[in-house]
Amino acid sequence: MRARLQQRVDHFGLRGDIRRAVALLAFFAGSELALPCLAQDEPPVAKPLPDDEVPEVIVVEEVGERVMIDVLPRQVVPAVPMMRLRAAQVGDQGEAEERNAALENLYRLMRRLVKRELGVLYRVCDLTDAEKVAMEKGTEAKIAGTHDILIPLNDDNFDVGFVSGERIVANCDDGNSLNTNPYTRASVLVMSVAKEVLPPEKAQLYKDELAAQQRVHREAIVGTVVCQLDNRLFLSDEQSQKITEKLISRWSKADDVYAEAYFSNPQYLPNVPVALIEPELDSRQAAIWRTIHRVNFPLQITSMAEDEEGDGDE
Amino acid sequence: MNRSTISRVLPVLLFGLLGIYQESVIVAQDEFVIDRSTLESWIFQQAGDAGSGKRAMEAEINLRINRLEQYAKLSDIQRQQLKLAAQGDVKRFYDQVEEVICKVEKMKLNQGNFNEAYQLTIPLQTTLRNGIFGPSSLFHKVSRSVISGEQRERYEAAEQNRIKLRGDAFLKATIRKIGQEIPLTAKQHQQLFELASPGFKEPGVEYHYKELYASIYLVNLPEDSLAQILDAEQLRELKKRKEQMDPMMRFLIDQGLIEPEGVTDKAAGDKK
Repeated sequence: MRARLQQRVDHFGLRGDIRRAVALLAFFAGSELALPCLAQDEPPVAKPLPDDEVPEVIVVEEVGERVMIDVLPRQVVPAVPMMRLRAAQVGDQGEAEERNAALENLYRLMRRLVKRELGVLYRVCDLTDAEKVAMEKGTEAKIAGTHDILIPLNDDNFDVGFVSGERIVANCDDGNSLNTNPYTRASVLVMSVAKEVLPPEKAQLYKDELAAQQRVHREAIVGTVVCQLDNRLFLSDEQSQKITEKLISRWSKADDVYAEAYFSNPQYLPNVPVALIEPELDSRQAAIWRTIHRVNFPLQITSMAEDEEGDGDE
Repeated sequence: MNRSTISRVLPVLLFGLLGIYQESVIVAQDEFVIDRSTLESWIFQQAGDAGSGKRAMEAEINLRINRLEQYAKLSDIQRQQLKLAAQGDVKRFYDQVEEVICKVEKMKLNQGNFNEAYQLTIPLQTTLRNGIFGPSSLFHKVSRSVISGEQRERYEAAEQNRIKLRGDAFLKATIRKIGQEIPLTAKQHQQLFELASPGFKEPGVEYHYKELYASIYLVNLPEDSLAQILDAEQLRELKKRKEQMDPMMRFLIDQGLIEPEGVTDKAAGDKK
């Protein structure tokens, strides 16, 4: 199996970042290796993957709306549902099992979040038993068809990856990371099923609830941020009020921020847009504001995974 | 540049790069020597060293005086008094820093007691994290004496309001966290907040215990009040969390981090 992988790597050359590093070294060494290394950086040709084909996946990369998968020959395909990725056998048996175990964890996480989301839906909409069954069946089908959201943090070129997103929003206890907000993902999934199976007025009720939940979340995050800012910058009442209003109405990425991380690390702030804060500060406050480290800590979902295990045992 | 040049230059470059990284903890014959800059970086954490720490404190003094001026017109003399008081607090802190550094420098450190040196710096790190101009500071005392009458009342009311806002922010974030585990509607988030907020005060404990305290406070709210907001399934879930948190609450009490009568009485008492 290793030999097969090696053959593919020889075929594709090295992965982008390593290839660029080799090219750079080769360039400084005056080697003729530099040009081919750089030349291989050209984007691959897009070819759709037949629906019924299970790809022999090597590396998956996100390219806009699509997922780039290294198969033989290399091609760009639309995002592949996790079920199909799970079926793909790559590497030796141990590697495949490890990858499938990671996917199982993701399924469990999604099921748990969707269950929680359905709990909200049932509390805001009075659903009939038939509607509940339809929602549960519909969401289960969507989970099975969920497109990959895992990011492998494994540098091994031969290992299987899922999606290499530009940011990490949450870390799972199995060492994998999510590049989309798992809560948002669950609510979007439930909303899409609600639209399909519920009467429009009930789907609308849930949609309104989602907007209200978003507001609750944003208020919680913004409140935390403004208090942290006040601790450092001694804001006036007017400044606090203006910053709060601006952040609640315009800081869309607040949805991916989790306040609890900043309780334990009060020296940090989330990555709040400068344009929403700096114009409200005086020069002395602005000077201090620029020294504050801003970082978006990913959500740690370890305990949730453990809870999920517990639920399964019951 | 050809390959033979690279092979000559590369080792030199690598050695150069290694040289940039100076070991600040020097190990000689099983004896550890920690230099001053390392000790300062332990104490001043994000500020990095004593100099940067002092500059940050100076900036904070100006901002604190600015805030006071939002409520009271200060004369030049009053401003001077406040600055002097704050500088006294800074000096007191730096005296403690010197004391710890001297103590560590006199210690004969080895693998066995190396950690003791770091332990000595922890109280200073905590003081710095909580701020050196707190209620026991000279600045705090002088700030209360330089303004009087209505201005002082306004200032103190505003300070109380800030404390309340901070507590509420903690509560809202904690309720949101619970709501991401137990399915709560947006309305229930709001109702829980309204139930918990009047009696909740941000505890004067280390930051990492504050969230825990807020969670404990919430799950210990009177059951009959919670039952008016949550349904049976949600109450069951909350009860499970309460059981998980009981040992942590006992830990906080044992450590003297929350009042001995406990958060349970407090939450229930506020409702009475």
